[in-house]
Amino acid sequence: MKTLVQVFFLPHLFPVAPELVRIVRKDVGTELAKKPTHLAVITQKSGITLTGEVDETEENEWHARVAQLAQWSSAVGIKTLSIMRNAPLDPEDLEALQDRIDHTMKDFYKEEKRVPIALVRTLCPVEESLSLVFKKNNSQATIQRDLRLHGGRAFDLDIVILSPEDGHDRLAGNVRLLGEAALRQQISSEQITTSFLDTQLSAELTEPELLIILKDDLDLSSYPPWHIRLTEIYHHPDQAVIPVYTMFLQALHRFAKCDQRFGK
Amino acid sequence: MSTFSRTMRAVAIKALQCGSIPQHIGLIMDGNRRYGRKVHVGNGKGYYLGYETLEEILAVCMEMGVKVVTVYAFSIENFKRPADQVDTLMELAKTKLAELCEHSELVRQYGIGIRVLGDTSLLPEDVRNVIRKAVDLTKKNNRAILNMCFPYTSREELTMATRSLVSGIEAHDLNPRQVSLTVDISTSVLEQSLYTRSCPPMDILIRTSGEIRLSDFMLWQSSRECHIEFVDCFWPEFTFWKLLPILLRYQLRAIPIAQSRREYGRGEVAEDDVEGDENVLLSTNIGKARQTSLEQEQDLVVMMSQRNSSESTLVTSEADGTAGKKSPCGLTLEKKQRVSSFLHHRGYLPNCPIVHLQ
Repeated sequence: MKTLVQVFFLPHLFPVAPELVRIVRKDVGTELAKKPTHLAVITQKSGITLTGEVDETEENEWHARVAQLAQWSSAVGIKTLSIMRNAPLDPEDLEALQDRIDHTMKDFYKEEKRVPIALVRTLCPVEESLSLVFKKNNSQATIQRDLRLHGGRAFDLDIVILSPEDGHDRLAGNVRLLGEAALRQQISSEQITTSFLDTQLSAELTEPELLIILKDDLDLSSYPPWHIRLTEIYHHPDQAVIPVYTMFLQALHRFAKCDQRFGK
Repeated sequence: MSTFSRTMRAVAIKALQCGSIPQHIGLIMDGNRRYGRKVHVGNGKGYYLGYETLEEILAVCMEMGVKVVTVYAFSIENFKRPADQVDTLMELAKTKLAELCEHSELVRQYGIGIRVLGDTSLLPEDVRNVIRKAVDLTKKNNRAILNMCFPYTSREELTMATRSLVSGIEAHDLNPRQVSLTVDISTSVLEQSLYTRSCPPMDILIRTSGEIRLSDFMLWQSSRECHIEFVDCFWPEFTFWKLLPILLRYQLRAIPIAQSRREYGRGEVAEDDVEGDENVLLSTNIGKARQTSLEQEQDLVVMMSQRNSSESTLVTSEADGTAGKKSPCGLTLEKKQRVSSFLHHRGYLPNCPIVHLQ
């Protein structure tokens, strides 16, 4: 009996992935106490395996998934979306992804007057982050950061594509960078405090408030460790059954209800 | 505990031991105060009940064969709590640490070395003395480790490791640049500079009380190939029977986790050096987890000789035909000696002495 119910009524229980922005806005509702400004998503896999083989269909699916997440995030008002994948993205693929996102955003917002601009990027090399620590004026630094991230172009949604090298290896690269700066007498080791490192490491990527894991197991997959200190981590083990859109909505509702005590 | 439940527990542990037992378990012991309020004994008593649960879970882990248990006893952020609660925690820490190192049957039976992870300079003098004594008395124990994170945040740990390595570079103990195929400051060297330096990689991380965040605990260690579980009960309510399904779910993943650690290990080895020399000074368990097993060393050497460049961008295929250049193995040994010497001297942590676990 239960099987019959599941087979015939399951599709009606879960909303279908929406094609228009007003549907997302209606599903999310207006009663959410708080929404994340930075949403992080760890995706199952891309089309590229660890040995470097490329599977076109899977890569295509991955691109489609990113475009979908971009649509939903922009509908909710999220400012930054970071996506973790298991292999780095080539610059040509990045351009192809940007084209795809532009195309799907236009479709999604066809009933609205204005289509938000979503720009996609990968992290710059770690060497460029040191100069930012020496800038004294914090408010100017934020404005300059926004301009710097996408080469001066204005955007509504900042999409960052991350890969495992941006996790532990980037921190090790950062130590080497600071070591070389110390040898050049630009800094001394005593200056290295938590806030110093935070300023440096947050230059390219802010802390996500909510992390959704689209994998069967709760695995952080080398998402940059420094940044997920206080991040709410949403994961559902039944990945094969529950659609991604449902998980997205559930994660937002769960996030709105959570209560951070910050140690107190 | 009745004979019946003790017997059932022993049977369950025997069954678990047919599969892989995790080497390193992390526990965020959250919810003591809320539990204390729930059973109407107050916050303070909640902490004591939490400690009793820790003793039980530690005993169970030791019985199963877990090598390292890391617990989040006190966060640097917890200093913001009301003064009386902080004082209760300090008193609890002093009494229990003294008990553990002097009278504990568990510590003696399983050869547990006690480590205290974190910035202990933030603690009062009397607590620091007890910590120093506990660590000193148990530092020769090398069959298991209990890591008490007190007071700890993962960001402070990463900052400490970075600062320590940079001071090593300033003093010319270490070289930040790549020399031939080796680089002193690699990801595994940064890992060896953390507080968890003697420990194998973390296999399971458990947080109780239903919160779904890490709160600055072991961010580096749990970031890759670690099974994370968020449990919806308060820490004093956590028992072996709640741990059991977590261990079973871990056992389902144990083989893929070991597989991807080996694959990552190959990438690291290609980045750092050639693992041909068994007699290296710094053969910690981290190195062992990264090293390929003996059967696979053969194909690794073959792989290295066939490949011109590795997966990592750090290794460049420099011309190595210059006369007078040492062999890769020679440079590797020098690098390991440098790193080992650094970790035993300038980078030495008094509350986390390095030990080679059996």
